[in-house]
Amino acid sequence: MKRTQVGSRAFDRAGIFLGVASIVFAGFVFGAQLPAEFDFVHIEITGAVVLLVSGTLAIGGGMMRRPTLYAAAGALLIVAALVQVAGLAVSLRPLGGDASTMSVMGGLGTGLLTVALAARSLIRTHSFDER
Amino acid sequence: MSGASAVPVVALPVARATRIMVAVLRCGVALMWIQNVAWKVPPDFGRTQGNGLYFWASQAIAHPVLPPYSAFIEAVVLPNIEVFGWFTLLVEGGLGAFLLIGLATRFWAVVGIGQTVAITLSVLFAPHEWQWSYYLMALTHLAIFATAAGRSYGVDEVLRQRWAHSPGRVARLMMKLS
Repeated sequence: MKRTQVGSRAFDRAGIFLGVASIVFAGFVFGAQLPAEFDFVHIEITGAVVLLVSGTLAIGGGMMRRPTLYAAAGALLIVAALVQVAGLAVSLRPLGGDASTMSVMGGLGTGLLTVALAARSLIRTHSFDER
Repeated sequence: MSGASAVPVVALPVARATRIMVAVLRCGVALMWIQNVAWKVPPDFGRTQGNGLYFWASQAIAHPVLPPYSAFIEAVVLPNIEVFGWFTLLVEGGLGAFLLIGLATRFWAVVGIGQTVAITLSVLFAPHEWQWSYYLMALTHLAIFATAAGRSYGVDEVLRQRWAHSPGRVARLMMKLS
């Protein structure tokens, strides 16, 4: 079965874009030094590492045109967001931060996973059409 | 009149700069929700200390805007702040998350207007509040809805190409929500 990726370039670009956003948000680990007016997201070391790893994975996946990689990045971020929600419920913060960390990770994770699933279904459609 | 109608009507192409500004608007509003979900702190959301969400919700009783809404806050919301607190946290967290990436953006714009109305009815008459903060919040969500802001550098823009060619019910629904 020949692997066809025609038309999936937009998804790969979205994966790269969301990966870059993930790395930018990891930069908020230094946000505590900012005035409260600009400290939009509360990210601590563990959360920043998760965002950096996911971002790197997503950018790599987009550049190599491998939706599985940015799906993995999305899944990692969604799991991290769920861990953060569970942590908030029991007043534990394994990732540091607060509900703002959950919101950012949940959003970026959902975006990456959704785009990756759409890209994979496109590849499957093209592969099926070729047979 | 006839001369004017003979001129062909050409749709104005949306410039890249305009699309970037729409995306900045969407992400800026997302950051507002993300920053403000941070002070919704479980498990009691400020009931013990009389601060946080509990304090701000109680402003609807101390400084009523709409008496039936204040009665609802007093009888239903404050005694069950743990439940309504989680609801608020998840709605505002969702607003931040989905507006940030631009997925189902029109749906979340409507949710944002609803949440803005709830906040406005709680704190509009509270001391030191600037009423235009809340009017502007509602108007920005209206702008996000009107411009379908997720179609400007959002996930909606990418996925609508897929949804448009998919016969499924979910795809048709997402076309409407985006």
